[in-house]
Formats: sequence, C-alpha cells, structure tokens
Amino acid sequence: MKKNKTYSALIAIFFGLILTTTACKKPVTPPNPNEEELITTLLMTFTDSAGVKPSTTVAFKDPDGDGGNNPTQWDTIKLAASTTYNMSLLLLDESKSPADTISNEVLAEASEHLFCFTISGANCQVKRTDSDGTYEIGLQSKWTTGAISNGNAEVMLRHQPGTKDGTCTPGATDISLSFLMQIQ
Amino acid sequence: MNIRIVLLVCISCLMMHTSKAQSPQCQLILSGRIVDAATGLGVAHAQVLLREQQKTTQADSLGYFTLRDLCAGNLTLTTKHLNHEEKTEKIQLKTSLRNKIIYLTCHADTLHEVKIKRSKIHWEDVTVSNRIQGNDLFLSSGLSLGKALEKVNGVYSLSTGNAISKPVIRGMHSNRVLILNNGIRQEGQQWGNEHAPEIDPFMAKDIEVVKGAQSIRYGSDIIGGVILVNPKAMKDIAQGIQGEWNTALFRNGRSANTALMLEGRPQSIPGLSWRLQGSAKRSGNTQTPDYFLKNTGVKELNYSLSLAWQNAKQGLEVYHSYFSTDIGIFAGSHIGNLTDLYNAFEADCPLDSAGFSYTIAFPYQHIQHRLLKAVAWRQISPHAQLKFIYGLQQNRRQEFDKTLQTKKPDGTYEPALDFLLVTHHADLSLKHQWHKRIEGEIGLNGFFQTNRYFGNYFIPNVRKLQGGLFWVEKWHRNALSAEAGVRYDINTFQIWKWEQQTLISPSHSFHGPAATLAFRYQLPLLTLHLSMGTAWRAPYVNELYSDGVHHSAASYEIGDRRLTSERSYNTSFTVDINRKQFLDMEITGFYNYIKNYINLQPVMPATLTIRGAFPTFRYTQINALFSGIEMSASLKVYKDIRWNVKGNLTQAKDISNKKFIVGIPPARIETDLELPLYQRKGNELHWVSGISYTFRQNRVADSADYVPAPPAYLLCHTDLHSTWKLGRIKMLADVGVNNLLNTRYRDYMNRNRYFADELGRNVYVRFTFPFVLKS
Repeated sequence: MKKNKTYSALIAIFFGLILTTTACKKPVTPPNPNEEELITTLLMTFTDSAGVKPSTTVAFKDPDGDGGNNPTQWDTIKLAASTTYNMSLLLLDESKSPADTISNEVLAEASEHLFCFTISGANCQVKRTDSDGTYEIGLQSKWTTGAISNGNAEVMLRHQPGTKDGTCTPGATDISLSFLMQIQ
Repeated sequence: MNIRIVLLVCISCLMMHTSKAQSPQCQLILSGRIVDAATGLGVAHAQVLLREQQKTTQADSLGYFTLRDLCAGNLTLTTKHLNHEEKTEKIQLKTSLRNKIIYLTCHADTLHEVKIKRSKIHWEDVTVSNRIQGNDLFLSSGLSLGKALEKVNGVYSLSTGNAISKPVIRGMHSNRVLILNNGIRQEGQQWGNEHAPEIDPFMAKDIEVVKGAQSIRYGSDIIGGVILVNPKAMKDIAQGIQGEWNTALFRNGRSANTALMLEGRPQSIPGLSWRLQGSAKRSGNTQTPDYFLKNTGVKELNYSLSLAWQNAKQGLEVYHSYFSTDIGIFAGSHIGNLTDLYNAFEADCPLDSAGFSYTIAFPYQHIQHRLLKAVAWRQISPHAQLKFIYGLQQNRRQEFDKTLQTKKPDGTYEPALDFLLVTHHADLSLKHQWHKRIEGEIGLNGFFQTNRYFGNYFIPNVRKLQGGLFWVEKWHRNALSAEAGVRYDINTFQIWKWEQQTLISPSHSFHGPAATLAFRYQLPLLTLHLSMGTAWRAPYVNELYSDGVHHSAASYEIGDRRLTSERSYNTSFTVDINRKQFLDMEITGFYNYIKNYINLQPVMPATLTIRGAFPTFRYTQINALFSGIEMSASLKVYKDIRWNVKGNLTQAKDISNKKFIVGIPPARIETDLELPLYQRKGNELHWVSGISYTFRQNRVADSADYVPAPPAYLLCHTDLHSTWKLGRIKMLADVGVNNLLNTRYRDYMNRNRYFADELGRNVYVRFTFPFVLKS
C-alpha cells in the first residue's frame, strides 16, 4: 500500500514536470533574410590617368540577391583605345537603406581577399595597384588598353583566409562575374 | 553479424554423449548449449560457472559453450543470463561431456514485449532485424554511429569527411530512416546530408537495425528503416556498484576516445537502480596516404544520467543525456561556385593543405543535443501492461562559416546557420495478451515540435503537431508465426517565412494510414521470413521551402511547396539457413516501390548570382523503385576457424523518367577469416583479417553528377582481439589496422570525394575494462 502511495506521488511529480516543460511558446518571427548582408551591386569606375577621355562607370546589379529575379543591370565595359585608366571598385548592399558599402569590409580584411581580373579577346592589360602590406588586393587597379577589339573581362573576388599567396588559386569565390568588353 | 538466435530442432541432441575413453585427470571438457526452455532457442552470451573448480566461460551468440581442463568429480554448474532465471545443477563428471544442454527459463520481466508468468512464452520476433552488441559493439567502439552501423549488411554510411556520417539503409537515409535513441525518436536537423545523428555511441549496449517498413510502432514515416540504439536496461543492473571504462585510440588523426560508466543498485532501496555515464573525444587533422586534411579535427563531450525504480507491478524511469560536438569541416571543401569545385577536384592535392593540428578553425559545426526522458509503466493485469513515455529534446545546430556576411561589428563571426529544434513526445501504449497465441500492443503517439532559426535563412521557422494511433498483434502456432499492424497518423505544421518584405505563415496538413504484415515459418534447418508493408512520409520543410546555395555542394536548391506525401509499398523475403555451428547463412531480397518519391532533380537554366552561375536543383516527385539483395554467411572451416562473407546490392530506379537515381550506395562484398590463437581458462585471443571490395557505382550516368563516380576499391584490415580474465573481471582489448595497405581511394557516398582522398592507414588500440566497486 505504501509503495502505491509512493508511486502515485512520483507519477504526480512526473506529470507536473511535463506540464511545466510543455508550456510552449509560439515560434517568434524569424529573422528577415532581407536584412542579411548581401553583395547586390558591383561598380567599377574607370578614370583616364591623363584626364583626357571621359570617366565611365560599369555596374552589375542584382537587388534581390541570389535566386529570385535575374540581375537588373549588367553593363558592358567600354573603354577608349590606347588609354591608361585607373579603376576603382565598389561593392554595395543596396537592399539596405542607406546602402551598405561592402568593399570597406573587404578592405578591412584585405589580407584574406584578392580580386582577379582575366581579360580574353580584348587588348587590355590589368595591374592591381593597392596592397595589404604583403600582397595586392585589387580594389584599385590600372587598365591599359591597346588597339580596338572586343572580348570579355572576368572579375573575381577570392576569399583566402590564411592561404593568400598573391595568386588566384587558393580559397573560395565570393564574386565571379563575366563582363562583355569593347575597346573602341 | 546476424546474431539472432536459432531454433534448436533436434531434441535428440538432449542425449548426452559420453566418450568411451577414460580421460586423464583434469583434462576433461564440458561443452554444450544453453537453450531457452520455452522456445528451444539458443540463449546468446550466457555465463557458465563451475563453483568447485572456479571455471567460467561465456556462451557464444548461438548459445554454445565450452569449458576445458576440468577435473573429474561432482560439480555445481551455474548458468546466468540477463533475461533468464539463474540455474544451478549438480553434475557428476567422469569423462568429457560434449552435448550438455542447459535449459533456462525466462525472468518475470524480460526484454520481450509481453511476458506472462503462466505460459512463459518467449516469442521470436516475426520481423527480421540485425543487432550489434557485445563483442561486435566493442569492435566498433571509437567510431561514429554511422560508421559503426556499416557492420550491418545492407547499411552504408553517407559521409562528409571522416567525422560526419549518417546511416543509409537500402539506399535511403535522413528523413527516411528513423533513429530511436533509448526509445525516443531522435529529432535533429536530420534533413541535411551533412548532419550526423547526435548520439554518443558509447552509451549504447545494443544497436538494432530493422530494415524497411516492418516496425510500425515508432511512426508512419519509416520508408528506409529503423535503428534502435539502446543502453543496457536499468532492470539488468546488478546489486552493488559496478562500472566500465572504455578507451579507443586511433593513430590517424591522433584520436582519443574515452568513456566511463558507473551503475548500481543499492541494497537498502529495493527496486532502485542508477547509472552515470560520460564520454569524451578529441581528434585532430586526419591523413590520407599523401597529405593531411586541413581542419578535420573533432571535439566531443557527452554524458547521461539514469534513475529507475521498479517492482513486479510498476516502474518509473528518468533519463537525461547531453551530447555536444565541434566538428571541423575540411577547409578544401568550402567552395564558392562550381568552378571552385572543378578546380578542387582536378588538383592532385588540396590547394588548402596543412600539417597535423588539433585546432578546429572555420568552417566548423557546433552542435548540442539534450534529451530528457521519463517512463512510467504499470502491470494492470497479468495480461496487460500500460506504459507512458515522455521525451523532451532540444537540438541546437550552429554552422560557422567565415564570410563577409557573418562578420559582426566587433570582428567575431556569427554562425551562418543557427537552428534551435525543440521536440516533445508523449507515447501511451498498452501491451496485452488476449489469448495464449495472440499478443500485441495498442498505442498513441503524440509529437510537438518547433524549429527556429537565428542565422541565415535555409529552412523556415516551423511549428509541427503530429499524432498517431497504432495497433499491432502477433499470432503464433507451431512453426508459423505472423504479425500484423495498422496505424493512422495526422501531421500538421505551420511555417513562418519572409517573402520579400512580407511574413507569410501557411499551414500544411497530411494524414494517412500505414500497415504491415509479416510471417515467419520455421522448417528444419531453415527459417523463412516474409514481410510486407506500406508507409508514408509527409514532405519535410526543406523539401517544401528551401531556397538557396548549398555551399558544400555548389548547388542552388529550390523547394516546392505543392509537394504531397510519398508512399512506399515494401516487400522483403529472407531465407535463414542454420546448421548448428557449422553454417549460418542469410539471404534477403527486397522490393520497395515508392509513389511520389521526393527527389532533388537538376533543372535548367542555372541560377545566376554574383558568385557565378550555380547548377540548380528542384525537389520533384517521381515514382521510384528500390530493389536489391543482401547475403551473409558464416562457415566453420576447420575446428574453431570461421570464414565470414557478406555482400549487398541495391538499385534505385526513377520509373517516371526511366533512369537511375543518383546517390545510391554501390555494391560491396566483404569477407574475413577468424582464427582463434589461444583459448584457455576464459582467456582468449582471436585474430581476424579481412578484405572489403566496393564496386564502382555504374548505375548513374557520368553527366548526372559534377564529376564521375570514383573507381572501385579494395581495402584490407586486420585485428587481434582478446578477452582476459582478471579475477571476476573480464577485460576486452584489441589492436588492429584499417586500410592496411594505405590504399588511395575515394568513396562514392562521401561528399568529400570531390575534394580529397579518404583516410590512409589507421592503427588503433582499444580496451574495455569493467570493474566492481561494491558488490
């Protein structure tokens, strides 16, 4: 009989335990993925180092990020022949208001990032002009064009935490965009 | 592997065989078999003691035992087994006795579902299952649960590197395989291929695999099978305080695994028993034959506590376990886009390489899993037992990825993915015996779950409510037994998700029946099993709502919210041939048709992102057919030398599109030779050497994957294992080598095959040291 009482008491404690733990909350509103950091925009501003030819800005824009709608703007790089341009690269998150400048974060982590430019078809040489202290970064670069021609320019941002060696080989890709290019 | 006990057919074996020649003093042998009195089946791993001469031995998995170097005289023979009453008998030993049969009767409370004192029926399970326990379990200690389960024929492991692996049963995994952790459905983020089950393998003393839709008790969604991971039952804890210390050390990765367990039954409080258990693991960068794999270290810390009280009529049990791990993700496997993947695949050696280190850096997973379980049961009549189980699980999964997106203002990194999954279970069941030939169980399962995410979006917030009702009955007459079961489930859930700037919260509801029917027919030397079943599974939220880049796979995955549930129709047939100790063979054929099978299929065009174009996959429903064969045999070649062989083949067809489904394990054949080197006074030394050959997965077009399936490979292993008696303590120890020839290979079921080779040679040392602090 005593055992039965013990048993009942234990059962009561046990159900009490369940009631307290099952008092559950409604899942709260999830974090809005639109508030996550994105790279929506890449801007390349080309300035003639001699100050003769007009400056030009080339943009890639995908305001809703990965998936969803396709990119809204994907310009062609149009540069004058036989000219040396200084190119300055800007990365933005325009899903925020005001837009967030992601390239500042790349600069802050310069020792982990490298921009790589690969030109095919067009007569153009690219040289990175900035440095993280040891290796180049590529937020600033010099583009030297030759004769009139057409081709492609591939812009890549390599994320190389702990493995940056000045080449494009290590790491993972943060940006990979291929622009049409005209030297005119 | 198959440790199921077999029916003893020859009553004539009862006849004691007495050899004619007079044996010299103290060189007599007593051997025979331990058999269940009610069923005539062999009793596995019972202990046999001879008081007078202080000899003891343990029976093998079929119940056979041998005691050597005995002296003539009157002896007291005691036989002990967990689920049976202890038996003591006097025998007069004049000459060697080789066919001694010892009959044991069941405990009042045994492992079996229903126990009736009057009839003492022990019914063999009608369904077919495979178990890993005792020595086999020891021989897989230090491995993850997924890898340990590969010992079961037809089970493969789906891996991401060496540290993350999950079981694949007959080609199915993740949401289609149910894992019961100490009686509670394991609820983690099991939809992900790189999400391993959060279970400490050192906690388990018995792992059972039930393939296909045979077990309807645990849920309707058992399309692939059920894995039951159980610690030793609380009622089997002996009086006093005992414990066990396990250690496993591996050379590759310089891995150390250790576990300590203490359990007891105080004499002052009858019916009370307790257990404390903990384990820790640390391993560093693992090594292929040519290079180290950077950032492949693992840290693990687990514990569990149990307390139980029971008498003949009722019982209560509380169990709590905690699992935590940090798993480094191979640095070379983190890729930005498909070009990165191809570059990684084509490199001879990973571009991101390093030497040995225990450091776990980015990217890594941090996972915590807590379980609280309470059980109450009461024998409401001699023929019926009522049982209530409550389970609470909390699963936190954080995946860290050092990217621009996860950097906090203070310079530290937030997890890229961060999920909190809380699950409540409540199960009520009534086990009963209507008639001396019919026993069964009726039950209710309730389930409430919430999922929340804090990091990036991958799957939405979910609140899920599930309920099921099942009824299973077993019937038995002479050589034939049958089992039939039905269940009905309702599964409803609501999700919360942002779409552009709007929060949407649609609800989904699925319901349907499931059923099983199984037969077992016993012939002399042969057992036939036939099982048929139908089960269904509601689409999981990732299949409905995922939308994003999967970084380890360089793919863009898109869910489809119009998916309906999938339904399987499953048949399997097993022939089990058993010729005492000479031959034990099992052949199974299975056929599993799945209507509306949810499959990830490639779609065109690729998704354009700022990181490049990603091959795109969408969850689609097809009709699929999984079929295959499994074969295993163990043959006594000469004296105690055994030859074991097993092999399996699974094929999966997409009937809707007339092609093969990708990601199905290739065929595999394994064989080994077991050689006893020394057997004396309970001390034993065995040597096992074997090879395993994994075929190339040819049933997939090379164009169906980023890179072709890796070639076939052959691996060799060798192991020397021993049992040593130190007084009353039986210590197990082994030393061995995996991948003995340091073979360079890649496995089709390992995601890292895109980036790196598998592990090279691995030397290990393991031991289990049981001890008694107070008896």
